[in-house]
Order: sequence, then C-alpha cells, then structure tokens
Amino acid sequence: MHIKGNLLATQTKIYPYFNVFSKSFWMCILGIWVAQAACIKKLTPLQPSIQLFWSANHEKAVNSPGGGYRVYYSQTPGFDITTASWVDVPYQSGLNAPTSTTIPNLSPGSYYIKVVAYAALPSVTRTQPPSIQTTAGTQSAPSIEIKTIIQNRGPL
Amino acid sequence: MKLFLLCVSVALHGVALKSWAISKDSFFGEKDFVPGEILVQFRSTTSSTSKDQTLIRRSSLRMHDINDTGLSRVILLNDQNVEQAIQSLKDDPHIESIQPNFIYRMAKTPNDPLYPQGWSLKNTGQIITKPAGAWDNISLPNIGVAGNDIGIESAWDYITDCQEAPIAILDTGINYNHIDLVSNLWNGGTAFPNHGYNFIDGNNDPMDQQGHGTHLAGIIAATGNNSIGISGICWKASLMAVRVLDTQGVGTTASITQGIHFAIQNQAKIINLSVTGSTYDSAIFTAISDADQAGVLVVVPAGNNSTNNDNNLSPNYPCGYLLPNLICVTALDQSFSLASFSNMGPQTVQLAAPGVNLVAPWAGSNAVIDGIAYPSLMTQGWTSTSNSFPGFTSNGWGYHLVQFDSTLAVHSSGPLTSHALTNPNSYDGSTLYSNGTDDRIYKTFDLRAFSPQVAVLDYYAILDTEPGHDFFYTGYNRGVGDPFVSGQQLNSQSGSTQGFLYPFHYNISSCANQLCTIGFRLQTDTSNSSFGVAVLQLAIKTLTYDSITYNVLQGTSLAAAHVSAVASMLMSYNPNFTVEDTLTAMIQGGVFVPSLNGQIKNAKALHAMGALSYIQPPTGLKVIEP
Repeated sequence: MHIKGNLLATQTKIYPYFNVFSKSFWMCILGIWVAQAACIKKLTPLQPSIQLFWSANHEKAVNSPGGGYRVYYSQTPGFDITTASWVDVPYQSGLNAPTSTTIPNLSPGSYYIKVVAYAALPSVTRTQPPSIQTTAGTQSAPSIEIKTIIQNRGPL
Repeated sequence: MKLFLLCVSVALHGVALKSWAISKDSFFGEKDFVPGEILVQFRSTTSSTSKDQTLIRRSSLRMHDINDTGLSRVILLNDQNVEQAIQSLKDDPHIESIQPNFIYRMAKTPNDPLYPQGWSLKNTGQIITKPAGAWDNISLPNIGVAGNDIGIESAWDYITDCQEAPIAILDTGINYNHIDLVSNLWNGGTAFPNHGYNFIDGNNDPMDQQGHGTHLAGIIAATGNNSIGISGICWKASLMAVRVLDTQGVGTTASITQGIHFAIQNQAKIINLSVTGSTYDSAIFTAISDADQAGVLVVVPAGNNSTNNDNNLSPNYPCGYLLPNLICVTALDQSFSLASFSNMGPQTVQLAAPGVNLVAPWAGSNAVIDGIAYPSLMTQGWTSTSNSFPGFTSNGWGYHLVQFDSTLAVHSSGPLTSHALTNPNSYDGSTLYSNGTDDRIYKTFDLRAFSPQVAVLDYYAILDTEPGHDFFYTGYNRGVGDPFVSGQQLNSQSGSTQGFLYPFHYNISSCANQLCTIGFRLQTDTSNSSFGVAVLQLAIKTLTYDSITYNVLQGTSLAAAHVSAVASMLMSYNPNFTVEDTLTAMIQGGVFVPSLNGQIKNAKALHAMGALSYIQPPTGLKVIEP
C-alpha cells in the first residue's frame, strides 16, 4: 500500500479493479466460459472505491457519542459541502471516533475531498442586540481539500 | 409544566423537520439528541401493525406512542445511529416525519448568594453593589447590557470541575483560608502545606498580604454551588498559590522567574501571570519559553494605562512577547466596551474579557490611618529634633500646605493642595534647607484597633537634595521613640524628583497590632543645599485576615483570570488538548464584538461555551492508494 501526500492539490490516481482472484475472471480469460454475455459482465470493471484517513481531532466531543466525522466529495474543485455527497463516520466506541473510511462506487474522474468533524455540543453564535444563540450540534470548518483521480483502464 | 414544555419543543422541531428529514445539511446541524432513539410521526392512516412492520424491516422497534402528539418513540437496533436510521426511514410512505429525540437541559445556576452580582458570568444588566466590608469602590458607569457575558451557564451543563488542569496564580498570594476558596486549592503535599510558595519572603507561606491574588483566585474558582459568596468560573479547581508580588503588587525578575519555574515543576497547566512592565526582560521571556516547552499556557493582562501596547512609545511586557504559549487579555466593561483603563493592541492583545466591577473573595478586612482624609495626621503630634554641626543652625521640619498643578508638580498657585511635612519648614520654593544638620521628625501610631496582621506605610514625597551628599531617610520603630535610634531604616534617598510627587511604599507588618513610630530624617553635609523635602498623603494601611470578606475590583488582571479559568475548563474537558488547541478554541470560539475592531487582534471576547463547542478542522487527510 502506498500513501500519497495530503496537501492541497495532492493528486492520487485510483484505478478500477477486476477481481483477479475470482475463478470467473480467469475462466473468461482462458475462454473456458463460452457464454459471452456472462463473460462481458465479469470483465466489466468493478466500481472503484477510495480509502481515506486523517488525523484524530483532540476534542472530546468529537470522540464521544454524537460526535464523529463526515467526508464530503465532489467532482467540482472548491465545492460547497452543503450540496456535496458525503460519507458519515460517527463515533462508535473507545477513545476516538474512526479516522478512516471508504467512499464506494465511484465513476472514473477527478474527485475533491474534504472532511468535517462534528459533535453533539451546541454551537454558539452571537447576534445583535447582544444575545447568544445556541443550536444543537456543532461542526468544524472543512479540512483542506485534496484531489484524487480515478482512471478507467477499461475491460481487458 | 414538563408536558407543556415538551409539547412546545416538539412542536417547534416538528415545524423544521419536514425539511430536516430530507436535507443533509440541516440534518447535521442538529446533534444534541438521545443516541439510539428517534421519534417517528406516522401518517394517520397507518395501522399499529403497519407501524411495527415498517420499523422492524429497518431494524427498529417501537417503544411506545407519545400521548396526544402522534409521535412514536423508536429504539434503533443493530448499532444503527440516528443519522443512518433517519436516512433509511425518510422515504417510507407510512411516515410523515422523523426527528431525533432532542435533549434539553435545565440551565445550570449555582446557589451562591452573590451569584446574581456576577455580571461576567450572567449579565442581566444588573447594577453591581459594593459587598459588605469591601475596601474598594464600584466603578462608574455601573451600567450593564444583558447578554454581554462569557456564556458560562451553557458550559456548566458540560463541565464545572477544572481540577484536571491546575492553575498557578502568580500574584500577591492567596488567602488559603477563605471560605470560598479553601476546597479548591492545589495539594502541595508535605513540602508545600500552604498550597504554594512565597518567593517574596522565601518561605512556603504564600498567604496573600494584599488581596489581589485572592480576588483572581475567586474569579477563577470560588467554590460553586456551595451556598456561600460567589461562584467562580470553575466550581472546582486546583489553584496553586505562588506569591511573586509584594504588598504593593510589585515583583521582580527574580521572584517572577522563580514563580514560573515553580509552577512548571509542580505540573501546573496554566500560569495566570498578572504583571505588566515596560521593559523587555530576557529572563522572563526565557522563563515563559520554558513553560512553552513544558506545555504550560501563560495568561497575562494587557495593562491598565489606557495605552496602545503596539505603539513603540508604550510597549508592555510580557504582553508583547510573541510566544506560542502566551495570551494577552484586555478588559471589557458591563456593556462589552473596552474598559476605560484598558490597554489595547491590535497585534499583541489577543482576547478581551470582563474586567470591571467584579465581586470576588478578598484577603481580609482593610483599615487605614489616613493623612489624606485627616490632615491632622500630618500637622499634629510629631516630635521634631535637630542636631546641627557646630557653627550651623537648622530651620528644621515643619508643616506646610503644599500646592500643585494638575500634573502634580509643585506650583505656587495650585489648584491642588495637600498638607505636608516639610524641610525646610518654610517650604515656599525659594528657601533652601540648612547645611550641616541632622533633622528628624517622628510620630507614634496605635495600630492595635483591628488586630491586623499586615501594615503598610504609604506616602508621597517631593525630593530635592544635593545628590550623594544630602540624604532623606524613612524609618520605623515597634513602640515609641526616635526610629533612627532604635528602629529600622526603610530607605535612603538623595537627588531630585524634579518637582513631582513620587510614591513610596513599605511593608511595616512587624509593626502591625503594635504601637508603631514612623520617622523621617534629612541629613545634610556642610556645603550646597537645595529646596528640600515634602512628605504628604501619608497613610498606614492595615489588613486583618479573615475568611469571609469580598471586594470589588477593576483591571485587566481580572480579565486575564477569566481566560485562565476557561483555559483550565477546556483542558479538563478535553484531556488531549494542547496549549495550541486551547488557545485556538478560546480565540476562534470567542464572540465578535464590533467595537473591538482595530483595538485588539480578532476583535473577539471570551465565550466559554463558544470555546467549548469550537471544533477544529480535521488535518492530515490522505488517500490510500490500493
């Protein structure tokens, strides 16, 4: 496994994969299967996924029930997380919320990814005339956005 | 009543949740709810059996229906979280709406009787009144604006105990017997049985001989909810008393650096260092850097001179040290304006916090024998002696009404006047003192009235003598008689104050609860004389320790104390927090105060709940290539 960098404009190429360990893959390759439709199906690239990880936040509330992370992704650079797809990574148990996840079933192309930490503590905003409004739940600003590229090698 | 509130809350959320259930954005805006539970509003046509079948298909179980609301309380099975369950159920045709079972909490209010006076904790626009027995006075205008506070009540829902992050208070000491502090003191074991150390006198008794340090300790952690006095920001804490300032509130490089290292060695997490100075001091800088290496946060005040710390004409240290573990704080008044005395600094002052009209514990009860309010102190009962060299005659000490201009420089036409002891006795701006004489004047005071433990001599003097040849001395004596015969000399001064008043301050506590004789002396050689000495506004201030007195103070030190307390709260709540995390949370979680724009960096005021709920953006995001 090779880990690429984490800075803005970091670029990783992810290739769709065939399950080369499957019996059906090799039967098609060797022409043992004659039912063409079945072989075409078996040789169509699987929808790829990307695996991500990040550093654990230090806030107790992120690493407690009601806390966790959300990973947002989009094919638009500088995307707005409120309109993006996401994967939730909630706190489950133990000392920390998980700090890795997989985004499944991606089509080939460029993807931009950011992660947000959240917690069950109420968030605070100040309004005028002076009063403090609190709403249930708080979240961080998004992390630095990274880019990854999923390339399609096409069927063999 | 409870049912009414529940109905109101459910109704309020019900309005929002039609969109809430389908909007991913608002979905994650709401998080303070019971994990593993949701509330489901089924369509009115849905039978009880259909409800249960719908839920079981999604690994959920109906616990019961909530009377009159149409809501069913649902338990989530198979480790589903609330978000997943709502996503899973939201499109079901039997379901009208879904929401989490939100959590509501009673706002936590301590039962301390003076808590309603604590505007910095909860500003209701209340008028602050001087506590019974308080020595200092309320600052005007005593007008507050409701809501301008540090938002501590919300934070108290999550944490009131700050013991995990001990706070060293480097100040005048702490009255460790005060009833509102006694349970919140650092446990120094047998080595430090009085909860700290005294670097002024070099012993392990950091009892506060002034009151300022006790006041800060109370702001930080007067025991909360104990039905006594005030509530501190922390209800429980570990306060380390480190006496580095004397009875006048003055310390030295030596006392302060020792205090910082004491705090580091004894695992303090926060140092509240309420000192300001105008000179860059590399020893203090290095000591604070040492604290940085040890992961200790240092909180300092901006200063009380109404000046700009970022102006080269009035630099202020340690506020001006650009160190990553140092935060400099200025003071706000009850309407969240910069307090009139507060220093500003768009580059160096990082946060503002309350610092006006704050009631907190004090070291004891004060009294004063006062030559300002009672001029007879200066004009009656003094014994004057003159011992002239052969061939010389002294015109000696006398009493005189001295006049000043508004800059407190001596001026024959006023407008300010003060009774003074003077030598020469005709202190008129033209008469010179006598050569070849040793003139003394002294008076005995009875300091037994209040059985004080601390006594301090304060006065101002205008001095003009031949430098290095003619000397002015101050002395005191336990009991009666010439203090320059059997007492202790307090100072030896020669030269000129250029016509201006100069303050003098001495700890004469060995004279407390005694008859005490104070004396002044002008000793001259046989040549060259000048305008002499005027001693005025003499006062003997006493402090009698007790465990029940509260006082009201102003100052940026008090603002710094607020920040120290919230820092301790953050570190206690978040065991993994570094100094950097703590500072980031306090600054980013502070509330923006438009009037602070251009006055301090970020224009933010401390807000405890804002800091507690601030979440940093995650870092280190990487893709793992298969």
